[in-house]
Amino acid sequence: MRKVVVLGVGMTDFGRFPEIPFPKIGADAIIDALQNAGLEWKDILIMYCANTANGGCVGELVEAEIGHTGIPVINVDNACAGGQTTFLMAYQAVAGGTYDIALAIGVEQMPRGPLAGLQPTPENLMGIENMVSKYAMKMQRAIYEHRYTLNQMALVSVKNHKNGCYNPHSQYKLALTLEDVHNSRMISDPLTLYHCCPTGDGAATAILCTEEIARKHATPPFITVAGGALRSQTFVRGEANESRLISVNTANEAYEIAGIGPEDLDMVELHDNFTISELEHIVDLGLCEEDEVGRLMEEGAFDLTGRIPVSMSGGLLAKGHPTSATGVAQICELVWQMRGQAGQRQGKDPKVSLSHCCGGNFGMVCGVNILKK
Amino acid sequence: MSEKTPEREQIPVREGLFVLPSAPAEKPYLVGSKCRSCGEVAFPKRHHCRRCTSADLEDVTLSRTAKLHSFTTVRVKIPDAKVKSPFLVGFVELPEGERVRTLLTDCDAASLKIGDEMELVIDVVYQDESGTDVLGWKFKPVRERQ
Repeated sequence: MRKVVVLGVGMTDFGRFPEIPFPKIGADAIIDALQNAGLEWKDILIMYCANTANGGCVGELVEAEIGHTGIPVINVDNACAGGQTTFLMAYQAVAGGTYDIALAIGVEQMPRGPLAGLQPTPENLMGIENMVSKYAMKMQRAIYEHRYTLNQMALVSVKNHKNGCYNPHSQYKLALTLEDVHNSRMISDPLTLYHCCPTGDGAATAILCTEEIARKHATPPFITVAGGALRSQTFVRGEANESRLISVNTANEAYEIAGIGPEDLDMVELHDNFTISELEHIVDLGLCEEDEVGRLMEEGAFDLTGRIPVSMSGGLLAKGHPTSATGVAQICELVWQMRGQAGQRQGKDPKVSLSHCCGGNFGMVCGVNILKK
Repeated sequence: MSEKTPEREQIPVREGLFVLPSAPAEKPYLVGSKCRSCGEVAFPKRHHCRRCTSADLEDVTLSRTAKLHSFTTVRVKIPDAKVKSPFLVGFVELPEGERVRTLLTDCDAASLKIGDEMELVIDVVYQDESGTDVLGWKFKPVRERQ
């Protein structure tokens, strides 16, 4: 397997842009990444495009917006993990020797409102299968079992919204207090608005290449892909914990491929679609134990200045969650951080970082990619 | 159980999920599937076992009572859903091990507790475009008889 360099990254702002056609949103992210990499569109040899909401052949429509070069385009719908999927596929295309330069893009333009199940079912019609009730009940059980308090979950929102204020691409730039989170609109008891990530539009792109090509366009040290993994669901009864087991399994596989453990990580971007998710996935990724994550969150261990920063970009909660764009946007953040280009979000000299997304109706797909410098 | 009015037809939200009582003294029940290979019980019925992937499944009548695992009042409008917000939804745990997501009825959230004993009812969930009652499963608290 060849060494693979992340040569360039780029993303649009995340927000609501109904007046911009989604192919243009995608093209804008690509042009940004090409400039960042010092390449031209004709240098890209293959494109992996993640999208869920905008119909067939989204990748080809994005390509048409920039110019027809005839390259192979693969379209991926892997829900919230689409971006991690395209990044992993682009990495594997270069690592395996099939392509010297590959591009991964996630682009999304979403309808408003809470997401129901992916396929309409009797349960959808009855109103009993939807994300907001599922995560509200997760929160209720976590409190009942004395795993996390409502305050600890709200703190995730406070932290990530504060980080979002320092991110020019962030959908929200709001300095929230705990009271703001508690008093925001009740979605499904006890889940209030600021416990949830927003839906929205946006795109993010990463360009990967061989070390030989990287040396022609940039100077070392390069950011390389240490390894990545993608999984679908392993059986677990009862739905409340399915996004946890798949995250544990995918992360462990990625660690093994990368030859590292969670103790080697300097910072993490993970799937904070709801506040409770960040607490759960910090544990799932092996960063700490279940019975200490709430206390560590309170102590600031995961702040920008903490022992291991989590969601430096503002996370899904503040930065936003255009479904397929999120995974690649996480990669963008890790690359900027590792280049020392993260401005006020900058964590201390990161050398190894991890990105994690977990999506689908009930945690059906999880992608983890690890970068190192 | 809801009253059947002569003018309004009633249909299940989907065939095969539950059986209505055929006599006044009987009670409804949910129909699940049980894997003959590993014993895993699922509701709704499946064609393949989600635990061991076997296709050797049989229909089973599920217990009518279950323990309340979790619940929430959904306050926002849910796309696709025909029920009007706010509505009460929860998970109940059957003795067979399966966890069923369900509407909750005949109660309010303030009086419910995790662990409460709940029992199955089949009730109108919504009316479809032609005004037909669509029936679905709900659970209500088991109340002590005086």
